[in-house]
Amino acid sequence: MAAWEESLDALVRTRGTALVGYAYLLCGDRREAEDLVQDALVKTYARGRTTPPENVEGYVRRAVLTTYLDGFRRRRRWAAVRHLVAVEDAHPGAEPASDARVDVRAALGSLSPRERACVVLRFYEDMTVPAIADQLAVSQGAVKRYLSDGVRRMESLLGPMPTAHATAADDVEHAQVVTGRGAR
Amino acid sequence: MSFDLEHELARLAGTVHDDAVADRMSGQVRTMVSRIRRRRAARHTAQGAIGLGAATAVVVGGMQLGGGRLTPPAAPTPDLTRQPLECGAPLPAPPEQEWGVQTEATLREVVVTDDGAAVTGDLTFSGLPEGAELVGVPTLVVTRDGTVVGASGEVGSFAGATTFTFRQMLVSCEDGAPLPAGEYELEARQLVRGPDGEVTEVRPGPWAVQAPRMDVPDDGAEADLGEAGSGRTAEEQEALLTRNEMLSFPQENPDGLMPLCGAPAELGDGTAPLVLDPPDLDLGEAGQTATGTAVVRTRGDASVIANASGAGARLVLMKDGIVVGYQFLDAEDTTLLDLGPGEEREVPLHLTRQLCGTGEGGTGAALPLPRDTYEAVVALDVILKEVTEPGAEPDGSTRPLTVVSEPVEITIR
Repeated sequence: MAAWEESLDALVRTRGTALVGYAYLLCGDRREAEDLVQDALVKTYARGRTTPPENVEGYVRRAVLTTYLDGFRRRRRWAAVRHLVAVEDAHPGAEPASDARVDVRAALGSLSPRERACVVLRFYEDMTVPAIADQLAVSQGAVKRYLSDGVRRMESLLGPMPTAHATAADDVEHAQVVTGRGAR
Repeated sequence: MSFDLEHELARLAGTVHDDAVADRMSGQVRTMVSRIRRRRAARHTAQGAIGLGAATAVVVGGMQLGGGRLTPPAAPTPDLTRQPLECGAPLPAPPEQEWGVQTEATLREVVVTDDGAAVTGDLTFSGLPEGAELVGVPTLVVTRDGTVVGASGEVGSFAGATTFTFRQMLVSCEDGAPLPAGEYELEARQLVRGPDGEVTEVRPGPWAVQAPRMDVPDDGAEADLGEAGSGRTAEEQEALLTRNEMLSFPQENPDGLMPLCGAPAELGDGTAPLVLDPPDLDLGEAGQTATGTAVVRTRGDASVIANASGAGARLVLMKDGIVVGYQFLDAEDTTLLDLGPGEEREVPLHLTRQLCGTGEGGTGAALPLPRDTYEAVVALDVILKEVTEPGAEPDGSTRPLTVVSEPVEITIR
């Protein structure tokens, strides 16, 4: 087995579900999240020797994000065939689904793709505004607008989120741009 | 109610953390590896002759390994294949053995990947005397003029196997770089434990393989794999690589589904109460779909009542016993078959020259089946409702069945 295959296998085994969780927050669909992660892994590893192995998860997360943002056509195709798969989307985990979790999922679904990406990168990946702007290739001002609009819309559905306002305004550089949060 | 958004997002992401997701992701690694190899391959140009031409079967039936071409005799070296060979050194001669182990090898066409050219194939060992067994899996070695020049390949196996699938990169054992273009020899090394417990090595081969000239374009450049190189377009090259990956790493088919893309074909045991005539078709050029007619009849003097797929039958194409092409059919509608002895019924036959698992419902863009000779059968899904054999009470047990015709050879040009 080639070194890159071993790396791929190890990454899927050790970080596969974490990557799917991240993709799930972005797209809101478990099966599509798995597809997103697989596409991102293929995209990353197909680049071959240009990907430093120590940063590979960060590259995969970045590829998940770009694939999600670029993937409108794919999502339409998936929407056309998803009924054939017939897997319950809100799959019960080890703990019963809470109303809050369902509401958060619905609230995320009310955001535009870029708003949603900004919210997930800021509040789940714990990235700074400049880092998000770098990932999305937009200005920091645009990121702040997306965050502000996104948080406001979620608040209208979920209720007040005081910590979110404070965190959204915080643009202190403290997160790694490329790798994101490896612990999740 | 006040929300902690960070906490709730973490909880929501955690809802996908279950064993099913982990299993599905792990189960997709092989598929991802294939996709990555195809993408890498598409970035490179192969020029000059691609070795072996069309898929080549090399049969070494009945070969007395240890006799004939092998230089005798050397002292038994039980752990020989477990020791790394010295790069650049002469390949040690194998010990003599008198068991007459037979080896059949199938080498497929050389394909080009990011890391160099690769040849895939199968090795099947037979003729082991009673009480003898294979020890471990074979290793492969690439030599030139008797000197070890290539790195070891990958060999797939499972417990008790006597057939092994291999993928041998044509890369240097010195630095991993693609081997210079030219002819090389591929040999296998397999340990066998004899009835007396003594372990010795058998050495199937050698087989000639041709390393193509590699021309690596700048990073990111799309390669033109067209007329100047192998004579195939980039799409044809990718199709060939994809098909060979399917043959080298077949899917498991524990439920005996037929057809199941990339899995061994289930051809039945010839006792089904319905039979289909073998296909009689000209598939013409690759990459198209078409319809024809299939004929279903009862076996012998049986009478059969069954529901058949309303969409009809489909042509299933196989290579080396692995399903590689068939058309998806929506089986929602059914049609009633009520056939007495000697009666027959025509049903629509759907055929495709597309590589299964690609295109809509599969992975990536649709790819044509590579030009080659395939085994083809007609398959029809039915639900048997009543079968009456002569002189017997009707059997009214309902059961699903895929009726499969006898295979014939079909060439895609």
